[in-house]
Amino acid sequence: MKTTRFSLILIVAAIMIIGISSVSVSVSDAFHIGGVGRCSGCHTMHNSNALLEDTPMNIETPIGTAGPYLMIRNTQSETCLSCHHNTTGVPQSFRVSSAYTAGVGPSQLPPGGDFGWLSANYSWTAGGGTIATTPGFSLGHNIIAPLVNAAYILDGRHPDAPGGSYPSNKMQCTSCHDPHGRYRTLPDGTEAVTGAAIISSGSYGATHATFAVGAYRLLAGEGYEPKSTPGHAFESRTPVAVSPTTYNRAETTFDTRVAYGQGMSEWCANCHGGFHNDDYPTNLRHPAGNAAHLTPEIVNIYNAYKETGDMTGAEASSYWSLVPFERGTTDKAVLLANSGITGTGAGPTTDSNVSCISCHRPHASGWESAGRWNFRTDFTVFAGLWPGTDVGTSASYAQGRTTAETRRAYFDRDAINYSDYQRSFCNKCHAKD
Amino acid sequence: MKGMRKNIKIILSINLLFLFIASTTSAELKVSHLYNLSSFNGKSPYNWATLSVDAGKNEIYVINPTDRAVSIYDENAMKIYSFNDDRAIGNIVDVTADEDGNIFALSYKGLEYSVMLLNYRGELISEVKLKDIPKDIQAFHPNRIRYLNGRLYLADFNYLRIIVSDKKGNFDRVIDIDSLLNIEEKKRDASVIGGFHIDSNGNIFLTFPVDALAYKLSPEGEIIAFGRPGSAPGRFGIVGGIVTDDKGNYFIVDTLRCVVMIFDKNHVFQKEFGYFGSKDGNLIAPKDIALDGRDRLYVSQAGRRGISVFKISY
Repeated sequence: MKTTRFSLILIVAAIMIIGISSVSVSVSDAFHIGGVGRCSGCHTMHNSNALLEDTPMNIETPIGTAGPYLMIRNTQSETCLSCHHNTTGVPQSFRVSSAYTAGVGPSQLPPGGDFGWLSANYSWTAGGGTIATTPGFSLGHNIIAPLVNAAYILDGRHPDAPGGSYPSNKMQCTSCHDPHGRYRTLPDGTEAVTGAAIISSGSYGATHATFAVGAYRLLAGEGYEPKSTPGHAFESRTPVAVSPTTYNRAETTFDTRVAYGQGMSEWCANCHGGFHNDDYPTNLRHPAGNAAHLTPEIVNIYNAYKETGDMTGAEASSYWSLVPFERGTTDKAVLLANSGITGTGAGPTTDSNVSCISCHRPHASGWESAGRWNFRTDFTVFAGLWPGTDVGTSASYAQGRTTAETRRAYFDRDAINYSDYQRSFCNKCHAKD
Repeated sequence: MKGMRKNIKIILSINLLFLFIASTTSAELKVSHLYNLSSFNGKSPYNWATLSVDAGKNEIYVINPTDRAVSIYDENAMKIYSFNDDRAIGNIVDVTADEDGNIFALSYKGLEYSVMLLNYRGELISEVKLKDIPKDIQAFHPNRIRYLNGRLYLADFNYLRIIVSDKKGNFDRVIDIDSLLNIEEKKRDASVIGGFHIDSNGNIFLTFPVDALAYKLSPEGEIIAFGRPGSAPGRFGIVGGIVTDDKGNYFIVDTLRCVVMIFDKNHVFQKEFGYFGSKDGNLIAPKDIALDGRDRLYVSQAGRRGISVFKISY
């Protein structure tokens, strides 16, 4: 009896000890889920002492003094890239940055592009013996995060946003994305920064009858003006789009179709307003915007265009994620049906519109001006190959890249999908080839 | 009543005894910064390099993500050799060594992976073709490779699977982390692995940075999870690499908080070290970690600060 009682005491004691030492066994929520994550994920209140060490969390500033805006790190982008930078060398989910490997490119393939392209610097001998270059800073938005990547520094060319006045020295992830994810779609479809609690991400087609869903990709909307960048408040709401849940992937077999709905060009115009035009041929610049509907002629061309010299395509399978368009609707059910990674290939209609992201990627790409394709070449494919310094392509087409790099810049597509002498992908809409 | 009071006293005494033992363990473990991995040109300025250790020789392999070259450092932290500078083996993302000093390199050409068997000089012996992989494993893009007791473990951080084969590539089994942890569908996309380690007993250790959790999976199928999100000491900010010592202590990197946390075998937080800063011993966004046979911890970080080496003293 005494022995049994003692055994029970030991068991109870063991359970109590285990209860002290183990904590949670359930998978907790992801960090953002459409809205703001836990404050301690990015901020420190006092930069206080660590346990057993007389050392603050951020040793660059004294105890009691946190980083800018009470951040754990010294820049916003370095905070974000603690999670969103990839080191595995393989496409991985929500990573949008990775190391650039010369001759190969960076490794992440999200539709927005991999910031790692900013590290690429190309030069080649052009006609007449001159040296032509594509500097890394020309390949995308120059977020400032030098501790993550030495190439993530101030834009070497533009002191302000092209077509706007947003200062380049303020360029951070938070220039476009609201780190607190306040923008939300209410049950009535309107966008606000309050009014109902955010219950889920709004990037994958979710809506809710009672609660709100977050803005697409936590983008910032009308009125956004972070303390770090006063005087550049956004005027336009966030765009409406639906992404497939698996989106960071090679497009060798099927495209990654993000179904863009409306508002992307208006949103880009928050900083690049000088380029916005949805009323061609007035205001002579390339159409882009909700009112820039594709004409019947352009729709027919897009749907028929398969490759240079082949106009035998059909609407049912004409879609290219290399040249996407907006559907012209904010109906998420429609967009959800359009998004995917298994060949949802329907092309545009006259309700669709051209957008900034029809030709550009929002983060960075392997091409100048974050282009989805090389704007600076006659031949996108030459002699059946992606041009490259290692496959005998002339320097003016290879432009300093290996064929593997060119392929990576096209999201690992195979050149065989196009004409052996494929011209620019502008021709998907304009068929001048 | 008297009997109950006596029992409570015994319980409290036993608890205090355990806590005393725990705190004694905490006081004994010390960590000190030694140096950084270097070559004859000075500190090697890697940015978030991938690490692997040959515990038998106490050599450390470092894969540079910018050129996929593999450098080997000796037990004095000096670079003694490098291979794949010309990417003859492809884009190497990880390496592991067997007891004979042969190297298995996980390499990619585009998005096609291969396991290459190399000699100790990094020269190709043969490709290890994985055979009889079940057809229902459609998407598999391993990020890390580890060797243990005649088995190769290939871990896919995105699709949460580990394929195990013998040294010749014959399929042994698949460890389906997704099923084991029963991750909810709505959380699935964000649940990616941050760190991966196998100890000499075959226990698998994983970290999930977004979920702020660390796991131990035993060969018998037992799953232990621990960790709490937060910014206080011992809390998980964004966890990355994980490694264990032969006493069962866990060393877990926190990329956001710029520390390495130490938990004992009972998952009780002991201490942390590093911290964001530019002095020796500080860490800038550490990612990966490795431990050699001489109680030396290697931590890779950003800011071109390379690999910091710490000595653990018990």
